Amino acid sequence: MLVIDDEPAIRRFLRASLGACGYELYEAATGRDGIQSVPMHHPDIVILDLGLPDMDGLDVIRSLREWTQTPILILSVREQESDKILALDAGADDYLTKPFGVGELVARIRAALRRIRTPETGAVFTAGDLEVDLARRMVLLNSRKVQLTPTEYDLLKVLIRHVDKVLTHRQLIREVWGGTCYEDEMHLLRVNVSNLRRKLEADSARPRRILTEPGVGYRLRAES
Amino acid sequence: MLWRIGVIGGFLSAALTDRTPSRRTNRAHASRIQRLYPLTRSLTLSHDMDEVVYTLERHFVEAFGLPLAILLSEGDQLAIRFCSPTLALDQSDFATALMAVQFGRRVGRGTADLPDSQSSFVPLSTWQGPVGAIGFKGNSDQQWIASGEWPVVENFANQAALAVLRARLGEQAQRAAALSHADKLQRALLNSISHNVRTPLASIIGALSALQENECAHTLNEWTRRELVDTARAEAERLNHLLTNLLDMSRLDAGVLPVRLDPCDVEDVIGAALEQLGGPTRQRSIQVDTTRDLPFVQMDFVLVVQVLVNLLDNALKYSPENSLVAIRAQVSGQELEISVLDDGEGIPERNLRSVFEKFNRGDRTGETGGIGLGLSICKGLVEAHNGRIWAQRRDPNGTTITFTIPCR
Repeated sequence: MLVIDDEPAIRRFLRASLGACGYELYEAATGRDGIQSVPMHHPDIVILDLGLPDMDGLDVIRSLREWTQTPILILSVREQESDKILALDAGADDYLTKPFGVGELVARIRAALRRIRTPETGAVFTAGDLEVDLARRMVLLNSRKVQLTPTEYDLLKVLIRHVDKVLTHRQLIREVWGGTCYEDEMHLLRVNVSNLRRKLEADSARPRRILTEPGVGYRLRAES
Repeated sequence: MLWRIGVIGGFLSAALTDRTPSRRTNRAHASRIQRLYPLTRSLTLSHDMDEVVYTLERHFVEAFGLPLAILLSEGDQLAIRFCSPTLALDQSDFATALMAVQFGRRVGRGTADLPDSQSSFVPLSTWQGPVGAIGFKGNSDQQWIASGEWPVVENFANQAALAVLRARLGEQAQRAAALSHADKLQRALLNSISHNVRTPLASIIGALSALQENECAHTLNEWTRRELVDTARAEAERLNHLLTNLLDMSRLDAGVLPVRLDPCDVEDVIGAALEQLGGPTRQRSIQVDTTRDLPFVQMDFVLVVQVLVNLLDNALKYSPENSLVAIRAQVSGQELEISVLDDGEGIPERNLRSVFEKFNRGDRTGETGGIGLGLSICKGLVEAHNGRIWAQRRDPNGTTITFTIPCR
């Protein structure tokens, strides 16, 4: 994998910890070097810091997305909330907020790699006691049929298609409603997520499947 | 002319009792001057410079109906504080005003100094020196101030000068107080930071060096290693929390924190807060008590989550292991009301308000650590939503902190 980060301390820490997990690591300290390294090493995943000295991290994403679908994992600090959303909308796959633990990082890397290795979700999605038969549009929880409205089902389907990946509000609205009127549909999105949780979560105040990424969007967890 | 000079001393009585043919003019003058009398009272009621200037402007314009300018000195310069819309204040008027301030007497039209000027300025003199000047300007066809009226105008100008001086001193005192408050805050902040940053750093460096230095690393057993690593990790998290709070505080103070209102699911907000707390909540259970069908409420999701995280973090920190911590949410009237309850020692009655001030940690010191910013940040964030936040004691012990967010 390729790490694009200008902080030597972060690169050193990633080299040590990811190396110990058996990953081979290439490093770049600038956006330009990073963009050039991708066609050279063909990494399975790119870990990109948004705050680079030579160019905007967003431009790195756009430039890579012109020709490759290699998963991009964003590293950002908390104050870059809106940058994070822009990065995801521009085609990044996931993000981590600094400071983060290695456990979390490895989990995100594995999820991203899993997604590219099994690009098509099968006809049946299972996570714990939840079973969704995409061919027959049927949702089973504990083997019992759950009634979903068409919108709830569409929303669930989109989440399943991108399982374990964070989807921004905008991405979800575009895929489910095809709309662009953010304000109105934001409300619809929240209501439908809330309803889905009531139907699919054991405790909707502490969701285990459909997770909220505060200020960014939602994520469906593969294992609950 | 001579006659008028004779009148100056007791102008009003003379004007009112006068029986000469110019009686009507004099009576007009008298009523003009009379309109100035409430000025004294209004001036004593004016609290700040804006009010003082407004009072002067109102009364003088009312009394004379002439275009008016109020210039206040700033260092060696005169700055315009008021200028009637119909008054074109030019360089020569400024020169007239400056001269009036320098000479300490009326200058301009109708005087020996700059008699050709269209304007006439009266200095605002005080025992501390001049604080500015008031001037009138009028065309030759406009009724001008009679020479007999000038002493009265000057008299009121002196009162106005004192009011200006008083307002100025008041402003200075306020600035000084704000500065000393800021100074105190800054000192508290520095003390607090140096303590709260050094302590965790000391643990981190200590733990890491124990693991690094081979000599002693060899003798460490697995349990000790774990213990050292856990310590370093927990202390680093504490540093991170501290820094987050400091940044939030400075963003709140600078007023650059954007509030993005979206209709939000209250349950979702609570869930996200519990998720974010992660670590500490896994060991302690938090009871969530919400009424079904809570409406969606307009708020900034991220900010309200942060309020809850801070409140829950406090509740967990300041209450015994395994004691109750609960969240309650309900709609009461036109407001969403969220409370965080704990069974801790509670906050003494006298501190219920002050806990929301910066760097106030009640009477708590020592182990739990913290800088006393959490609650003041909550207050700032809630108020950014036009909500309220308050603390109450629970019976027999413990604290309830409640905040509200208006449902539009």
